[in-house]
Amino acid sequence: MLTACLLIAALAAGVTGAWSPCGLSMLETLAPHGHARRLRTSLGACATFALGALTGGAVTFGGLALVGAALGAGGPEAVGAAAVAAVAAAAAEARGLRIAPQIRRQVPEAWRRVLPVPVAAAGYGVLLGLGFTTFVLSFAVWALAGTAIALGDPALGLAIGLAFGAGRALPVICLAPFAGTDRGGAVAAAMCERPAILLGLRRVDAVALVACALALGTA
Amino acid sequence: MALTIAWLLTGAVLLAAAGLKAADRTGTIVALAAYGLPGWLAAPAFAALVAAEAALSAGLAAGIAGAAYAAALVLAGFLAAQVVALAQGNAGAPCGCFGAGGRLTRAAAARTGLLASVCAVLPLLGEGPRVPLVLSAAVAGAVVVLAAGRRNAPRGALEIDGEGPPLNVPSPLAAWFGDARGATEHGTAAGLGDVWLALFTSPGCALCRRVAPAAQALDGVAVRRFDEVADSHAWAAARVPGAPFAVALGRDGVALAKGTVNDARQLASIVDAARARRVPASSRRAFLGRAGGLAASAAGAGMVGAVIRPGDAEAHHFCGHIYTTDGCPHPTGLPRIDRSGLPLRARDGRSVDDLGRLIDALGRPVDEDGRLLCDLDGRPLPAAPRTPVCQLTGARHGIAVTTDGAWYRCCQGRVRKLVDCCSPNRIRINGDRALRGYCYERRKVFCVMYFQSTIPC
Repeated sequence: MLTACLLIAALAAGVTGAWSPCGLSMLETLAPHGHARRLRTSLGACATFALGALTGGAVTFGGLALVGAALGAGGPEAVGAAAVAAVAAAAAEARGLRIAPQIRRQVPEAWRRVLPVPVAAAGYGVLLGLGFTTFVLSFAVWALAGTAIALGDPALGLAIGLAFGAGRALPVICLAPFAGTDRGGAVAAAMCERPAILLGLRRVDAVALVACALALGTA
Repeated sequence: MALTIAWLLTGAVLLAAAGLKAADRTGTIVALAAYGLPGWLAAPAFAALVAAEAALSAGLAAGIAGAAYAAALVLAGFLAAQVVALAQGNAGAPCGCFGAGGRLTRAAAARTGLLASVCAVLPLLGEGPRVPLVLSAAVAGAVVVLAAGRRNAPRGALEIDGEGPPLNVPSPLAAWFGDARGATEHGTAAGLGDVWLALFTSPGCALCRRVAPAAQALDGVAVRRFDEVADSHAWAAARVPGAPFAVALGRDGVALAKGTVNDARQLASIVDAARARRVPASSRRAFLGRAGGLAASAAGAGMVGAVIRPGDAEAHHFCGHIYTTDGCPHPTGLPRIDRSGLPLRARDGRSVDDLGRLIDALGRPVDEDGRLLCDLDGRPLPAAPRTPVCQLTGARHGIAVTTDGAWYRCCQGRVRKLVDCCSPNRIRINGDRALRGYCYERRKVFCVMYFQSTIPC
């Protein structure tokens, strides 16, 4: 139950990250009409981007879980604190509050100009998958980081990281190959112009975090 | 314990060197020229230097004796190169040791020698720290990657002829200073400052919040802020392209310097330039002020020359834009567009036609309240065309244009898409040599536009 809740929360947090300057820039960069220039290159770049994102997510959350294990986490106090943090994050997500602390950094734009697009995409994927090297668009990222440390379970941390990486990659690999089409353009525009979509996603994050908190409380 | 700190400190110095080099690629490559490196070799040498220093720092943090000896060898090589360069009379050239900031001096060479000696001695003194190599390598890699992605703001404001009030003529802005004597900020009346500074800001502009306090700290400057909404007449009179923008006036009301500013240093450059330009033309400072940019800086004039020409600048033309390329011609000023590239009024995102009139959903011109504009007989005015901004630019300049690439940035609390209007032209709209920007293939940026999203950041 706890694992499922955490994986869903991580996936949702990753998807929410697509509404960031870097996430949206990836749509432009990997699109066949963008720097990739061809559908084949675009698909290859999407694949390397996904691999990079999975790697980045695994490194961050797996690493945090390792830190937690080294600190001897996993006790009831730590788990309780993680549950409280999850509830607080859920409340902030549900209200759509501005993210704080925010990391005001972006991936290097120059990579897509000086590197082959699939290579640049892999690097971008790693940086976005790491979660804390660029803009964070959901409190769930912070809450999940705390939970990974509190539980101190490297295998679970790795799974959270992979789910987060998958979430970061999913919108990009689903939308980028079609970004040049009318429908793809309309979807990208809707992402930018309809705040309700992002707010809805953040509420999904909130629900997932509440479920995590309940699961942590009963674990 | 002391030995562990010595190992870690030495590693940190090398990591700082790698990070600062990575953060200023161009400056470091230029610095390498002082050592006689040919241009074609400078870029790979830069990459190799950064990678080697980062790797050695990771090795030192892991306490590997081989890394310490290797670092000593590398640093001895640097020392030899510095000594040769000094012997060739290159003292004072950029050192390239810690980015491009330092200068090649005997002290710099001594520092390199000292560091090399420390690296050679460390393994003889005892074992180093046992930080896992994977961890130290990850930290070193992260520092270099993050440093490489960092952009430094330019030192000077962006002064473009067509933006803001014309220079060296009396400015209508002086009237606002006259009215506001005693009501200016900075705790002084306009009459008491040797320079009057008009600072143009707008609500919700994060950069403005950063720049405004810096204005109050300027010595001998009477500051007056002009809000985009409350002081729209002043904005119109000064032809301000966007906030934050500053205009420096002499006590006689003559506009002396102007420009888009992003930070305190750029704001100070405007005041310095104004003071330099105010001095009689025969003086050296006035000459330097006119010479502008690099020439003045090289002559040691400090910030006098820091109001730099568009070709030399890298300031933001509008919030989020980091190059000097001018905005595409837009009927209402700032080149804000919708998702189809059609013009929107920057202030509120309302649709406008090619004449800059607000329009309704059917393209009919309307007033601020949405009522149809009518002629004297009460008949609705005819609709005007509404053309994508990039396309209209191409038509006006007689060149082929394409809207190619884009990049998103966080600007004024919202995610903003920066869009390039690209062409095969070798010249940008402001007359400078074209840059590749976000354009593809052989096209280069002609002018820039932006699309404002609703996403908070």
